[in-house]
Amino acid sequence: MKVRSLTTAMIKDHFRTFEVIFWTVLFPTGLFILFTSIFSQVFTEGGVEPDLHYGVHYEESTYGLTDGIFRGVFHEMESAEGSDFTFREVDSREAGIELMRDEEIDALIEFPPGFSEINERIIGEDSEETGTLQLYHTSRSESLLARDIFHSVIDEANLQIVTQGQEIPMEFEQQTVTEEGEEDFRYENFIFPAMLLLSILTISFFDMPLGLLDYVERGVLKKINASPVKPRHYYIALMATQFAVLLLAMAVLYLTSTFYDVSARIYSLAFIAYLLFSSITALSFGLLLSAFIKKTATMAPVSNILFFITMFLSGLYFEVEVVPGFLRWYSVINPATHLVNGLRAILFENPIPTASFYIPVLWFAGSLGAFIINQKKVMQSE
Amino acid sequence: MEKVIEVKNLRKTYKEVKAVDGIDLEIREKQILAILGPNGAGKTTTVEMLEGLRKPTDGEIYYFGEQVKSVDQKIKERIGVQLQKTTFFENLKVKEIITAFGGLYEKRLPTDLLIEKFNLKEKRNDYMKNLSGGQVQRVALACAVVNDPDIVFLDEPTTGLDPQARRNMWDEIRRLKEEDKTVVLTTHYMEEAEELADYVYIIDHGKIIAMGTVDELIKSLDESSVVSFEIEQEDFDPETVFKEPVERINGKYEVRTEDVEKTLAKLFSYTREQDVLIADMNIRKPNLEDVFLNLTGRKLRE
Amino acid sequence: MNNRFVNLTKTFMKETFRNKLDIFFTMLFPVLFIIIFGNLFMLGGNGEEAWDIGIAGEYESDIEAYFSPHEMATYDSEVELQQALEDGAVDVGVHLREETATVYLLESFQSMGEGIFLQQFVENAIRKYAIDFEEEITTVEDQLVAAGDVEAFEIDYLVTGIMGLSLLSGGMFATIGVFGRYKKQGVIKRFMATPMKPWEFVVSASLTKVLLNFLSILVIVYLARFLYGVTLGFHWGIFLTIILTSSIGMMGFGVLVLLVFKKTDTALTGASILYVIMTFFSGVYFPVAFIPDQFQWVSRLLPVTYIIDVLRYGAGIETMSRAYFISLNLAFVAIGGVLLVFASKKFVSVEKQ
Repeated sequence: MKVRSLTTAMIKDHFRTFEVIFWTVLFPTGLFILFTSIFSQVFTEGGVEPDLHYGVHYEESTYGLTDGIFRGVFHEMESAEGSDFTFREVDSREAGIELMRDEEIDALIEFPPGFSEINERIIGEDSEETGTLQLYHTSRSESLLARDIFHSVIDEANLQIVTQGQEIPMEFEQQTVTEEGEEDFRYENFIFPAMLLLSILTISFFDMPLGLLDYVERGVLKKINASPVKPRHYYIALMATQFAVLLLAMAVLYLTSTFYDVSARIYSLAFIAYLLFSSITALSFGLLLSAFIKKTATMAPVSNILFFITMFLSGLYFEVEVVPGFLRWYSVINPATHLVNGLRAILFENPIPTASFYIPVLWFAGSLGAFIINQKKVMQSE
Repeated sequence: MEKVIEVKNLRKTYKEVKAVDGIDLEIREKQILAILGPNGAGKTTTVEMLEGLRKPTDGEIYYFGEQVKSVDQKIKERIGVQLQKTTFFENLKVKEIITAFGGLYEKRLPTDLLIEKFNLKEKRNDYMKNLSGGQVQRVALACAVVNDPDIVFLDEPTTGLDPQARRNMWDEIRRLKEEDKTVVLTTHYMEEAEELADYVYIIDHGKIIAMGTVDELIKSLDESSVVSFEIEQEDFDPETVFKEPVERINGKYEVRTEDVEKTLAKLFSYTREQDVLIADMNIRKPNLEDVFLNLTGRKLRE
Repeated sequence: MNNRFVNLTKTFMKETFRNKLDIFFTMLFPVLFIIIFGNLFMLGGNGEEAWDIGIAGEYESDIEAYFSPHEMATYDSEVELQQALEDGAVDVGVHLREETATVYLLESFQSMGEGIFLQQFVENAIRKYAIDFEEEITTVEDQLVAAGDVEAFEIDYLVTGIMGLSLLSGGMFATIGVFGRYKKQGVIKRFMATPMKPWEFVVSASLTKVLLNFLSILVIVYLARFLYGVTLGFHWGIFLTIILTSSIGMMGFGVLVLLVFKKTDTALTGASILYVIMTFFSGVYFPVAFIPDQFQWVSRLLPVTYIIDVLRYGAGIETMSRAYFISLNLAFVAIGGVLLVFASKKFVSVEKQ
């Protein structure tokens, strides 16, 4: 009865705090929607369809088959379904480079004088002529992309020219591999566990330790201590409150996931069980922080610093291999890394790495131990 | 003594709320003037208008005999202020805060002198965020006098302090008067006004309802004492015992009387007859609380 | 100089530089981004790095020539090949049989974007091998052109982007703190009871934040140079001008956020949301071209996009007309200045209501 009464009061307090609801529930959901909208298209068939513009300069007009082939290549690129490529002729290299600097085109293709001499080779005559196109580009991402795409296109064109359009006796099969499984990689499945963990981390780094300190500093805990409520009742109520907020956050994320075709394995027993495991272990980090930091003025910066470092070095947004070597140790010891790996392993139907169990458990034990030892100091009781 | 501040028909209205409703004040030099009233009476609004932190809706303010349209830099050089809620930069040390405020005035007292004066020597290198409530108030007071002002405004300077800290603050305030400063003090503590004030304005619902020295105000009650007691009889009817008005406050009966002996005699006579016991009894002189109660029918701290 | 102003500035300096949270977010946070994303971008270079191509199955040794300039690694079985791919030993795997080839790609966040090129290159190489392709008829020679005065690399774009984001956050959160937090705590009110003039408060607070921004930019520049050899050719005059005008502009933006959201805590939350949105729509971490078409216009609405543009111009890696550069800077100062003046009247003034 006491616990229920206390929990109800604490839940109301939490749910009426905008910042708690925003950072725990709305922010991860918003990020999920934003990231998925931007990145998921990279992994769909056809991939990214960037909007790229090419300038074309003919130092000398092309003619014959050369002219036909390359104009055909440009036309095909422009008219390909879903394509946003454009080609425009420019009068001079300087004009083209100027347009590129002004970002009106992303790359400039230049046909040098005598380029059409490859016509003989195209028709199969014994010739050693090679036509070298000049591709001017900048270091802007779009320009580099335009360069890479054009290289691919020319590579393809070369083959077409040599085979004269005939079939090449080679069939291709594509297989995507992720980690140890063969499940198709979908960005939604990659980012969804990260957003679930983000909700959990928000509570464990901010809501729990700062909320606890707030209650201590405002005298709320003192008031509770002066009542028949035992400390264990308070802790039960505290954890129940955090779980209530987390439940809401996860419910919203799950609901959002239905619009993004996230794998149905998020409803599997294994995933939910591991999610529960992640929640319990990650929430204990809040207790660890509370065990050592006694003032809000200190806790606020420490929580922020640890939270953001953890966010970026735990493989939430991108895999840890990107993290430079000298920082990799943080990713390895950090339990959030292993928790998100565990969740992803289940989604991609891979075995859960053992580190995804024992490292969070070690942290959980350590956090709980530290909190219990320092409990009296935390609660600032005599 | 010269008038340093005079206020005529001062008003402050927020939409339909009249926070200050036509106040007249005279503040004389080298006095401690207390503006006493319950929470929400208009005390802070009044002094903040005098400090130049709020713009009056109507009325006239005179500083040193001259009417001022707004409290300008010249006047601010001569006044010191301690606000009701004291917050400073958290990451500055005590000595730095005092120096910082000193740097805002043309005339300033040395930081070390103020640190010594307000007993902050041990805390001089501590950050503001690490100080207790009483220490923060002492720093606030030091900042309020850093420019050696002629007039010091203290807005509820002892709210939230423990009794010892409160008394220490009272000593500081008395010292300000000894230094020939004029102190304008707002408070809702009756004892504070009684202890410190040379003159009191009692304010309620934005209006001055009484003014005078403490003695004058208490004498205005036309009472000499208050007899308060608890009686172990549920159906006790004081009207059957006393002619004087009797209040029931927090389970106790309070009889205001000019003749304590007669009142006590009536009480004891009754208790003997009825064979009932008096649980608690107290005889005290009337105080400003009684003045306020008499004027408004309410206690200062309801 | 006005002593009061000097003293107030000194006070703000102490307060600001001792505020751990402010220092972290303004100075160390960009450092974190430089280290992580710089590493990512440097791994990618300008996209000219060599790939490792794993191969297994039935093939002749001359296939290696078709994979040039990339490295080829051989494996005895398809299983080993897949393992090598998962372990990161190769970037792509090919299992070749007589007339079929299975191309294995590791799809992960890292390989996004380049995956499609990898696949096409490998397939074309195998086709060439299948037909004994001898020599390209057409080749492409790349010519890197400086978009600005100097040649630049992707890392240069990243660093200037991070500088822009740092100026954004430094300015925006600064004013919310100064006008929002200090107002809420009553610090401004206390100062108002002194002879201090509102402009002294606003200017000294702003100057401090500009200085903090300047230091954070210096940290970014020198760290990028130390870690990745990035040398941005700023002219000091232009550099300082950009920092000053951008800081003022972004402080004005912070005032706008505070005016819209009214309460300090809500404004901070709002500012954080805007910061995240701007981070992703500014084109710093990935090209704007990758953003879905229907959202690309957002990028041109964001003030940070323009700050990054002037920074890149100042560093010589992008081009811009001098008139446009001056106009942008004037716009930052004018808009930011007006908003700061408005803030001083609203937040650092006698309460009328």
